[in-house]
Amino acid sequence: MRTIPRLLAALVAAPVFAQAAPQSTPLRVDINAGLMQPMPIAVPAFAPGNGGNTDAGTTTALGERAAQVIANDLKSSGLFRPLDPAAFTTTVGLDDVLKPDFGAWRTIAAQALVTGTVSANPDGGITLACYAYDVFAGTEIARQGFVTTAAGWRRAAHKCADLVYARLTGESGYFDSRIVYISETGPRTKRIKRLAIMDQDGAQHRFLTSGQNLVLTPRFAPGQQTITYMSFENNRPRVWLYTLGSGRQDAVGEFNGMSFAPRFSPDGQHLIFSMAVGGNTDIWRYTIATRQMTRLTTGPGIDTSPSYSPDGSRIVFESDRGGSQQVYVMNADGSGQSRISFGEGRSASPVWSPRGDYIAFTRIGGGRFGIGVMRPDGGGERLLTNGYQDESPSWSPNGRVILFARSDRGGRSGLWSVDISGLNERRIATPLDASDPAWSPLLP
Amino acid sequence: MEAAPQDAAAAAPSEAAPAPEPVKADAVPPPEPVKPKPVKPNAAPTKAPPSPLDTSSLASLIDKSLPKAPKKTLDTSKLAKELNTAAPKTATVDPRAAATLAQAIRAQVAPCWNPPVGGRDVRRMTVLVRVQYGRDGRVIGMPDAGTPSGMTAANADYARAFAETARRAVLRCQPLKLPAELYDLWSSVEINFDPEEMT
Repeated sequence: MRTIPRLLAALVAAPVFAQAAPQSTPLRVDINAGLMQPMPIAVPAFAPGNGGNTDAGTTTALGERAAQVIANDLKSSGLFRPLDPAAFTTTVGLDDVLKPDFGAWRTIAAQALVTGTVSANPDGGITLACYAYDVFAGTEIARQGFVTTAAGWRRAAHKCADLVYARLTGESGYFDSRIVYISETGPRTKRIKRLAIMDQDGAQHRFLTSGQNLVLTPRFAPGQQTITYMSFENNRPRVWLYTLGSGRQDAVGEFNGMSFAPRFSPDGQHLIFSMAVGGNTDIWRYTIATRQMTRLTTGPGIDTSPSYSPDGSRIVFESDRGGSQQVYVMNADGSGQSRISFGEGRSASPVWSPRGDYIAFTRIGGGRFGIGVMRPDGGGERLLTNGYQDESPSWSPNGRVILFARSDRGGRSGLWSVDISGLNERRIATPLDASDPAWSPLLP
Repeated sequence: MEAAPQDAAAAAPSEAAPAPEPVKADAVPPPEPVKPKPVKPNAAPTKAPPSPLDTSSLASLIDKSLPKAPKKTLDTSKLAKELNTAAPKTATVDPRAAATLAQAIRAQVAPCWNPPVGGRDVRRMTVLVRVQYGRDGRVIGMPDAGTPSGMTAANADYARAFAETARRAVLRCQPLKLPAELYDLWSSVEINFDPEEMT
């Protein structure tokens, strides 16, 4: 009981008073642990702001669907437990959006309430108004309206979920974001791999390439509109850029060697990747504006999978120069290379967290692949997953969740996510097998 | 915000929907026209879960999740007895009485505390909440959550959310069940919330 000595000291030091007199020194209580439980939250259907109709449905229907998207987002974080609407003791009309009946929400133990309205605008678009309340304090804690096209209602709902998540956790949200990955189908010897993209919650899934050429390791540019990836056109691996919107695909430069594992710098000005030249694979930096190539590593061995720190000052990468695959860090100009992984087995495909505090990597050992994290100095290593084959980690925009590919012994593969605490492992549904996921930055 | 091209599923298969343009929500208040009448049943809610103050459920929560929490502090009769023995007829407070009271308050409030663990700065943050309790054990007014220790300009949003979880714990877990005869000792309480044992 660590509180007793403290209390003793306080009471001995301060003169104590008669019981009848009001206490002048407050009683001191120390609470050193609480419960780790998802917060119960109520997300009733958003009220129709007007009786309008839109191309995407009536405002009533959109209000119901928006609430479902928001509740699903919050639930998927593992930090919230949306309450079953069947338990609600009140509906939410227009009046209640601004003046909720807190007593009614307290009776079902909702700690927070998300309400709002969906209105049809004269131009055919919608306005989604989002309000969040602290039920026990009886106070409004956030409000924001979002004007968009009717078809964009999902993004408005994700933005509302991000607002609520950010306000209640104090960290930025990640729901209005997308995932690009490699969709796989067909037998192992004749596997068809296509670039595919979807919203973070699996909605609005689309294929970006036809499957004619093998594609690998897609990564978003910071600006969201470009994806870099590897494609084996004419059986030659090269780095490509895919421009979203136009669907245009461009090969990056004409290099002598085969290039792999491209990734953008945080400012979008450079690509880093590995390139095999004369039997030696090293990390290279390509400056997009000047088309200048700079070699960052030179030693023997395979150096690959480079990833920038969020401030662009350092690069983490994988190298087998010491005899087995391990994780190394260097300055952005290639100087100061040092090994940071010293755990059991091999460590591969490192990725720097967008908030800078951790590096995610794939741990290979004992016939298994798991996802782990370590600090940039190599300390604090923790394994978050332990599947048969978990690999290709990618961070959520807020650095709180890691997306990865999981394969089973039968060769089936899919996308999963896990919280940085190692909790809340979840599968993200894809139409076909899936690998090599990359999480986009938060959409603007 | 720019109006990006429309996300027509077929036309631009790879384009995201246009960015929703943030507006102040109060600029778009719910307008008048249709006002669906809310149904507010007078009767007690049918599915109301047990009150957070159900001491038996509290005890079970404590047993499972707070291994270091004292297991018998919710027996208020026993507590009162202990306290009376500890601080019977003197004008001063026996430190043991204060410690036992603090223990009882901790056992009743901690199960309602759901700190945002996993945040970048959670290990370094604590917050002191000042609470006034009425004789019925209910919180008077709004508990005053101070500035969390370890708060910086960079983590101010997290610090605010952190402090609110502490305030919410105090508001959810009331009224306290404490010996009325010792009310003067617990009318004013400072609770320091520190997730050190959770990280």
